[in-house]
Amino acid sequence: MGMPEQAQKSQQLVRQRSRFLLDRRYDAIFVFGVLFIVIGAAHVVFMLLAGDWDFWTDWKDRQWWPLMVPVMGLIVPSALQYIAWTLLRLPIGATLAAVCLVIGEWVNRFFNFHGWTDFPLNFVWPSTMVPTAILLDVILMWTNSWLLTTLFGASLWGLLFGVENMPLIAPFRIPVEYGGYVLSTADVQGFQYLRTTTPEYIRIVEQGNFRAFLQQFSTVTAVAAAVISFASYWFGQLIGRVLAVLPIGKFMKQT
Amino acid sequence: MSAPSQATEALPKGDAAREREMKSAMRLWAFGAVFVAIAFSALRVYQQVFAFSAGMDSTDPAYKKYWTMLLFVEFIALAIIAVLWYPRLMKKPKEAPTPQIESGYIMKLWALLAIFTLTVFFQASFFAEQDAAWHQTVVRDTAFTPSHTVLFYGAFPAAILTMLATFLYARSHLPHVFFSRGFPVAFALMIAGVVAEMSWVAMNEWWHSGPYGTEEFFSTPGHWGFVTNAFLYAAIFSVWGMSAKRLIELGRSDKEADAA
Repeated sequence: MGMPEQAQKSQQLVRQRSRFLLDRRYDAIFVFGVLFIVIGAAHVVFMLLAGDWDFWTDWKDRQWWPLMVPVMGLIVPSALQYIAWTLLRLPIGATLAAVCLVIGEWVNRFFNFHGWTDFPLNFVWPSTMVPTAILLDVILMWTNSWLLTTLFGASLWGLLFGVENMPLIAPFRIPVEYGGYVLSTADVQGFQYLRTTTPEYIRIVEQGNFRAFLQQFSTVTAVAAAVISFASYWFGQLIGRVLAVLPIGKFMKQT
Repeated sequence: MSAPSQATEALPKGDAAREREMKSAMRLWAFGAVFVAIAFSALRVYQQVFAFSAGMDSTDPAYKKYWTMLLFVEFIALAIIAVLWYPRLMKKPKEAPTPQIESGYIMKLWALLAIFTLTVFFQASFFAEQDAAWHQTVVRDTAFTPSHTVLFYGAFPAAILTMLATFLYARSHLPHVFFSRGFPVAFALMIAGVVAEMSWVAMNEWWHSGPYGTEEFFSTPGHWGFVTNAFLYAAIFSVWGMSAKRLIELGRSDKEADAA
């Protein structure tokens, strides 16, 4: 059935009046800009808040890696989710940020950690947050509620980080005997590939009485990450709101 | 000035003028992006060749030849680019722009923003994490290491240069969009972001000379200033938002389109 004449006219008028914005060249240049600014911002925020636990397999432990990486890694995806949903009604912000982050990391690990300082890629691979980012966006799209997305999305983001990265880390958790001690293969990598200015005493892994929890420690860390992710999610929302959306049309008055 | 193409001549007068502006913006984007990519790729190749061979000991004469010299080359090159580029970019149009031409100006603003984002990629992602690869591997004996020479004194000033280019273009060509009611908060945040990133380099070096010494723990409080400043880059979405809003207004005020 054809569109009523009045609707057709109205649609034509809207198209005519928005013809500048509808030019696809704006889209191309905008997408280019968004990709690079998100890679840059997501990567620098993440690397300087939790990067050490993501650079090397021997830092990817059961105490700090599943806590620091998802909690700090949620800030920019949350901000971008807010921006994309508020300004464009697109439920893709978190996924885009997580994909951009992993692209930036892989480019770096390949060309710099591997290509410059000669570490093997299986020692410096980055973790991923893409599956939980998709979940976060889908929950926002279904619920259209920041509160429900916080309760379900942000908590699953922290809770499932270990699960989504298990296929990547599993081979490096295999126990081996090394110099009379039982270590993981990741520990052995750390001893074999020397980092002169990252001595063993500044490696922050499995500290204190953590192992007193015996077989519950992964669960304990995952639940802690889920809870702290609430705060991290809202911090990202705050950045998206205050620094990206509110300044539209705001001016500092000239005296 | 080059003669308009046949395709452009066939368009109505306003659209032909717009098309010229749009093509000029696309050329700026392509040339700028390729230039930035080639310049930083060349610096990366330079690191590959001379970092381990001449960049391990800052007291070595070879260090001064290859790395201290590069520092000055970067500063001089960026200064030359600014001196040659800014006046050309700020050249004001003689007449008030029509809606069609103004939409082309906005395209050029977005082209400049796109070039800025590419420098941010090199500044905040590529060379920033590369700094971790270098400093967690090699002992530092100077603040001007091979990774810092490119990151702090090449990529950081390049981000300032491209951000200021965007600002100056908006100031000269789109003052009624961005400056009619005062100084736009979005630009204030972005300029503050790039300048504060550069300023934090001093804090970073002080931190490495004191509390953490030459050892490298990347998620250290001494680096958190870079994070806070990077948050300010989010204001780029406000600049896009304000100019997209203006594009809609221009479409509504375009009498030629209504008549058609």
